[in-house]
Amino acid sequence: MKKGIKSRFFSRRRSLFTIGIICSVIIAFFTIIGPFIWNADPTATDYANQCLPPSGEHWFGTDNNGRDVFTRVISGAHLSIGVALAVVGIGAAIGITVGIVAGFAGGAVDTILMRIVEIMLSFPGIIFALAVLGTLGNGTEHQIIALAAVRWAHYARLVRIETISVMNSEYLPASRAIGNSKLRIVFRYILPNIIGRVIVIATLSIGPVILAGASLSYLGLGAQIPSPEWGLMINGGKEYIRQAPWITVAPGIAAVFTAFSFNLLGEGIGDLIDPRLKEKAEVD
Amino acid sequence: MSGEPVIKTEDLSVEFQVGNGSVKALHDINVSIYDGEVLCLLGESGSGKSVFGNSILRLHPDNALVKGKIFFNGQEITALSDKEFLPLRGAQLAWVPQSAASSLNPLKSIGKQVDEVYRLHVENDKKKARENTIDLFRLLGLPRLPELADDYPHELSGGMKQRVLVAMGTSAFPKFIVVDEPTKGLDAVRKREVIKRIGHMQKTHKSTMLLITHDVAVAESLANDIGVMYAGEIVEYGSKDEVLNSPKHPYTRGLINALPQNGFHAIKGFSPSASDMPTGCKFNPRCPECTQECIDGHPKLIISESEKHVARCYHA
Repeated sequence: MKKGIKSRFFSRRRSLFTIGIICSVIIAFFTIIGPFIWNADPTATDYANQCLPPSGEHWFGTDNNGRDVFTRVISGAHLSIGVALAVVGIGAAIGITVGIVAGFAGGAVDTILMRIVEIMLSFPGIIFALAVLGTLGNGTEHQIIALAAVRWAHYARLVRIETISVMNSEYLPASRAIGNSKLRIVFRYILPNIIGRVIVIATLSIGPVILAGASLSYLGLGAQIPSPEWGLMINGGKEYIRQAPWITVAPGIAAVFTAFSFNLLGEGIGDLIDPRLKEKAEVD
Repeated sequence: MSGEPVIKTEDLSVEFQVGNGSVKALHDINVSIYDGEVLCLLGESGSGKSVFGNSILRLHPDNALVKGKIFFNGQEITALSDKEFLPLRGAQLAWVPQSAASSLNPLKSIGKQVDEVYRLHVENDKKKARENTIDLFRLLGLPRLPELADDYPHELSGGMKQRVLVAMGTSAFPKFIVVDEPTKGLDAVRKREVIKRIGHMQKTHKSTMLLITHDVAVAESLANDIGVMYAGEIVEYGSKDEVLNSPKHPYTRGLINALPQNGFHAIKGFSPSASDMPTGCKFNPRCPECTQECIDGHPKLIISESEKHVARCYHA
């Protein structure tokens, strides 16, 4: 902390985090401001210019309906990323609550909650999401609910184990001995000690969730044609993959790049939150 | 020794439920600790010293069954509900845990952790809490003040962490402190430093203290009274000088003979397992003076005003 901002961001360990931040800023720029700069209609078709390769005019080429792929990737970003953030946020909130309650209460509460979690985890995630979507019907909100319904169980299991490990640590009896109430112990001791790992896992799962959302859209659930959602674009372009690979590759790269940046960001945040790792980072 | 004792226990026993049976870790402890005095419980690992300390603060796991009564300033604290007991912890009754290395929250600076106790129990004032913390750190001889308070536990040595824990225990000026193995895992130099500082702090604050240790030297430098524990019982009780200079119980004599300066004469055998106690006097299998009487009967220990130096032994 005293060593200045420079060593914090540019030591070897931090450099990955710095790249993560830079990438995330780029993504945020394109997602939030991009649609205002490249404000062409992403659904406007132009059948005179079908499947054009990338060029100065169409950076990522055009698709089978003559729509500019770059405009579509940009204007679809908020859909794909927004869904992923909402899913991870809701999933983590439920997972943290369930996990802490289970780990802290123990006994029958723990057993019941964890059996529910195991039932959730025993379904293949995408099948369960399909079942939820089948019941609720299509739509972005339903897509979020379906994916969050799968995700929370992962977080709950992690949080429970971390909670138990904090409960068994030797500073917990010390915290009780100084007169902390149970609620204070949960919020002042357990939560701060587990949140770093939860954030790492949550940000790491943003990538897979973007891809899972894309899969659902690819299967025709979630976002609907002609929405520029990335999964849907990949789905739409798959028939032209030999003649015009850019239709699928561009949104694919966007999804992978986003997942990659969030992963770097997640690990970096985890390190920053934990003071024990600061020292190591400075030694590197 | 005058007036009402700060802590008094009546027939305090602790059992742990293990599987289908139970293991008795503490048997009928009757002690009184008076204002400003230090009672030292001396004994080997597993003799029930820490269990006794934890009983006072109610820090046992759920499978523990505590019987008997504990009085704090005349009030029966064993009769309080958990909710009524909570405000006593840290404010009136404090506990300095053993294993200093891992007893601090790794995510908070040590200053904040000590502040927290003050702000929880005395006054929720950041500045005053920090002043109090720094004063305590100074009293305990911690270096690099006040910057040290912003350090995290992993940046401190074992002896420093131990002193931070003592500061945490005393930050709200509790009436009574349980100090559990303050020298565990410290080297000889640090040990002396920590002991000196605890003694200094105890005298400055006039705290009443229960000191738990297996180290005769620690007991010698800090205690007023000593209780020697063996297999969950107090086997000898008396003032420091009486117990250390003219021990009555063969176990106490064995402990003193085992000291390096007395030639390392180890007591033969091992202390019995809590689930497999010998009949009669629990020390009889290892005792050089064991007679038939010791196998048939279990000697009693009664501490009274008139006869303070007592031993749980037929031959004392």
